[in-house]
Amino acid sequence: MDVTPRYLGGDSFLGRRDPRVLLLVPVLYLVAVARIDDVRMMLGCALLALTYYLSAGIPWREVRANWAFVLTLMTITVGVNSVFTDALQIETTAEAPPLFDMPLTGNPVSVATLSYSGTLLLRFVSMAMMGFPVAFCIAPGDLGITFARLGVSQRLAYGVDLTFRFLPSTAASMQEIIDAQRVRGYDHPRTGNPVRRLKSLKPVVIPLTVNSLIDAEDTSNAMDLRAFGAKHRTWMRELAFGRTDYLLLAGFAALAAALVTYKILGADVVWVP
Amino acid sequence: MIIDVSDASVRYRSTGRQVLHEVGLSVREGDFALVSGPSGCGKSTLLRLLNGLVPHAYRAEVTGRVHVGGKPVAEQSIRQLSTVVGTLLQDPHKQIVGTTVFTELAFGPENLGLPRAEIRERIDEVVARIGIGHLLHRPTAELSGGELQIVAFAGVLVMRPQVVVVDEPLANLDPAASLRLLGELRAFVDGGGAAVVVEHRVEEMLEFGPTQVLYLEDGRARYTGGVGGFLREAPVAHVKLPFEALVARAAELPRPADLPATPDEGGPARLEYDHATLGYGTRTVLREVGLSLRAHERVAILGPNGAGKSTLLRAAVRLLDPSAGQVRVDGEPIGERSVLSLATTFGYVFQNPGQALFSATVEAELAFGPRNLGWPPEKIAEVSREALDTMLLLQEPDILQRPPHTLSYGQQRRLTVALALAMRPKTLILDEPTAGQDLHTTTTFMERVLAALGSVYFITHDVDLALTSADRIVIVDGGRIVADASPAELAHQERVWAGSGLRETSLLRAIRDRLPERGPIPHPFHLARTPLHRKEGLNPP
Amino acid sequence: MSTDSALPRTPMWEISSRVVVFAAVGAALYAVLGLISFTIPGTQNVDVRPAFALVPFFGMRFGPIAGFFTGLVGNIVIDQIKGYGALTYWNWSLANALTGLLAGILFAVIASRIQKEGLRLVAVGVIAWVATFLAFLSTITDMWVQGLTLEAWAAVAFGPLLLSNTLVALILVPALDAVWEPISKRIGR
Ligand SMILES: Nc1ncnc2c1ncn2[C@@H]1O[C@H](COP(=O)(O)OP(=O)(O)OP(=O)(O)O)[C@@H](O)[C@H]1O
Ligand SMILES: Nc1ncnc2c1ncn2[C@@H]1O[C@H](COP(=O)(O)OP(=O)(O)OP(=O)(O)O)[C@@H](O)[C@H]1O
Ligand SMILES: [Mg+2]
Ligand SMILES: [Mg+2]
Repeated sequence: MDVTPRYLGGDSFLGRRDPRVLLLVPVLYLVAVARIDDVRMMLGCALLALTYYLSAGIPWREVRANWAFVLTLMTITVGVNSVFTDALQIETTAEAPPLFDMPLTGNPVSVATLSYSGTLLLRFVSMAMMGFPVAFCIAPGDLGITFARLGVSQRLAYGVDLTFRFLPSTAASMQEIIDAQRVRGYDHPRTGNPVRRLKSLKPVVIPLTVNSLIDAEDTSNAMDLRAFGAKHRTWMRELAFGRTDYLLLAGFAALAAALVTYKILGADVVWVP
Repeated sequence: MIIDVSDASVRYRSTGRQVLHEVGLSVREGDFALVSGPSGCGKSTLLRLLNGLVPHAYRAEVTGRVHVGGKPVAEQSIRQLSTVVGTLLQDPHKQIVGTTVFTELAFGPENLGLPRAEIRERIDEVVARIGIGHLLHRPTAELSGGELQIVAFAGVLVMRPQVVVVDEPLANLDPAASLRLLGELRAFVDGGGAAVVVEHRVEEMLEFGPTQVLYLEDGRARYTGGVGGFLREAPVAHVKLPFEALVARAAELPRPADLPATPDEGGPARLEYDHATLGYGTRTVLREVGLSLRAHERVAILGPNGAGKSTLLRAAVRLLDPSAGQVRVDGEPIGERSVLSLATTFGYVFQNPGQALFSATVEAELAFGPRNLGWPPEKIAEVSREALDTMLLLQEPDILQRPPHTLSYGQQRRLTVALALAMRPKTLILDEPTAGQDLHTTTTFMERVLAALGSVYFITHDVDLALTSADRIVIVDGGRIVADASPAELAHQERVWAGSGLRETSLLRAIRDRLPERGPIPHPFHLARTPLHRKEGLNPP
Repeated sequence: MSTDSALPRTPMWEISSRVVVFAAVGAALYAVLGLISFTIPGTQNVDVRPAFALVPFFGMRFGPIAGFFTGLVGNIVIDQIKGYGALTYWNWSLANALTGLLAGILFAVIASRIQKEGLRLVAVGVIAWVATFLAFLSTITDMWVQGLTLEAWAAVAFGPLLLSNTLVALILVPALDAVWEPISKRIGR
């Protein structure tokens, strides 16, 4: 699997935003939709999320695979948790008569159940939508400065940049190591026994880790030798909030505040037609 | 005086071993100091002493006078030193931290907290000076070995150091790239800087006129002074001297045994490429390769960084399959051979020795391959001892119980060969087996390998090694094979050495001047003793 | 980075360039190796992720901060590469991070002085397991995030994960540590 970060939404509306916005907005959205029960309310939020996502201009064919994966996975989770088993705490406030019992599990399914699982699905999918721009619309080199400007320690912030520097090379040396072991007759085990399988991964996991660590010693030396480690460093990339950025943040902050109060006032219940 | 070191001794606390004894070195503006010596003699430690890693990063005791930029190193932090001493490590992959060349160059000045305008100005200046403008916005992950090394050097220059210290810069570079790097280094010195370079490849260095040489031997200065004296005094078995120097010292040269000649005419074909096209995904590296390597041949593969040398030989063990054409092993299409059966035909030793080591002990490490072949324990024990013996590792104290990674770099290299030999291969494939090692280690290493198996294919950037230890040289460049002949023949084709990232060495010229177009190549020492007129046709007796 | 060569190790909470580099390396390793995972046959949701061993290992060897970073950034990158957005399962990323943090602290206070090889390896395994257990209790937030019932959380989320990570912690973490110990001695930092 390709691990090098992809930068897709470069010059879209979101692509032009200050990267901090792309990081903060999903957090606000998270606060907003957490624990929402009413499917109509959730639908509203989901539409907002969709608009936000579309404004990122991420080419569909690039992320088709990701979406296919997310959607199936989330549908299954929600299905299993709500419709097939009663894994979810559904407020009793809107007691609805069971429509039918689920075959196999015999779990009673009511309109409330369906409505609530709808809410859940929408919540997860919309959260994924809010997450995508973080991955695809922030230029690889910009993450470090973004965190630094959000108050993270400058050095740790640089660590984020460094992580993305190491990703491709780590993936490459993993391939090298797998090759090196294959010429020694190493092969993936056919066994189902998890312990055996874990053991059988040692020839890959251990050399990759050890070599990366040995190299890291040199890398940290090289960084010291180029004066890394002061409390403050210059970042070539300048970040500045524009008016649009403020508006966007303010909008989502307001949404979060509104929905939180709405929930606190307890006005939010599972919707049953 | 930028660097002023005298009677400096270093003892690492972790091992308690003293690795430098009363060493001295003084470097002024315009000086270009060469530091050489067998591996393990303390060269890197000396550089760590200059850039402050010792004692600031490594726990070590330092005695003696170590002044850099006029102040004792101990009183300056690594940060402060970083603007006086710039350091270039051996492997650029470890030194480079930027995702793009620009961010890489900006890294140092950013850490110094310089204003953006100045950083930009410094970068432009350096980029213009060493002409890497075309790389500026490329991702560092996509650069070739040579490009990486130059970029790493640029990243050091933007710090505006007074002196740069360089640790074995040429180890993984093809000769042309080495030339370029040393040229830049020389230019830096001429521009009012200074340099201290640790390097085994003395001959390449000499072209750039080092002003002084420090030769270390187990931590002691064996020679300090000018180049002329060094060429007269350097131990011939340990330093690869230019051929002229050998001739001048012909009288004192030892009489080593020549390589054993390979039996018959190389025997049947072992590895055949039949219009094979090799590459990764959509990227084609080698196109329509036709090549047949025999069962009893010593083949050296030369070529520039990124030419596809490793790719070519990886196909021999099915690490990649040809996208077109065919690869045959012992006459059968390789597709019909299992990985295991290939593993017993070819022993493959990768570029980076530490790479595949994962066991807690050498014994377990050696057992891994044979066990995959399903061999019984007693046989495994036997082949293990045998392999260690061939690679001269058996006499190491309780070697079998040592953790593999604690062996020295050179020992690890020999161990990885032993790992391959333990599977009883018919042919050994080595990817740059001697990169960054001193002459003595290299020669003994190759002797052992060639003694172990008559059939060895190896990739190298060391032209002289190819000339002296192979009986056939294949040159890969531009996606195809550009030359394939015996060393003697190839030596006489001057144009070959002009391209393909290669350079003529003094030995190469000597061979051309003194030997006929065919026949074996004697050991350089013997060659140095044979007078010029021996060459047929020059002046008949 | 201690400027006095006599000092044994850098203090636990200092963010030296060494910590930063190792944190980044850890995150990258976790992200890359984290893509390798397999399901224990017979169970549909017990997903073993061998690379998880790296999180407590980095915590113990390179300090709580490196461990925290490895777990957090590594897991977020995995989630991202796999496709469900970086933040969707933020509380699980947090649990990963806490594992590294706790392992780092526990190791520093309990095991860092242990000399005997065998004993240390046992300690390493146990600490890794304890850290994992405590840290992943925090995923009880699923009750709030996903609206799961306690039973469901225990049965669907926490239980399976504890099972698989117990295996990893007890098998791979000591193995890693056993190989790294002599090397770290030799590197001499
Ligand atoms: N960090 C360390 N701790 C303890 N011993 C060390 C350390 N680094 C190097 N040594 C030892 O000090 C000696 C000199 O090592 P050094 O790396 O300086 O040699 P070198 O001349 O650079 O060798 P090479 O040519 O192989 O790079 C060796 O015996 C080595 O094992
Ligand atoms: N796993 C890989 N995936 C994609 N491209 C690769 C891979 N390995 C090598 N390449 C590319 O294929 C080309 C040939 O690589 P190869 O390693 O064979 O060159 P080489 O001759 O061995 O170079 P060097 O002398 O530096 O080792 C290079 O451009 C390299 O970038
Ligand atoms: Mg060295
Ligand atoms: Mg190669």
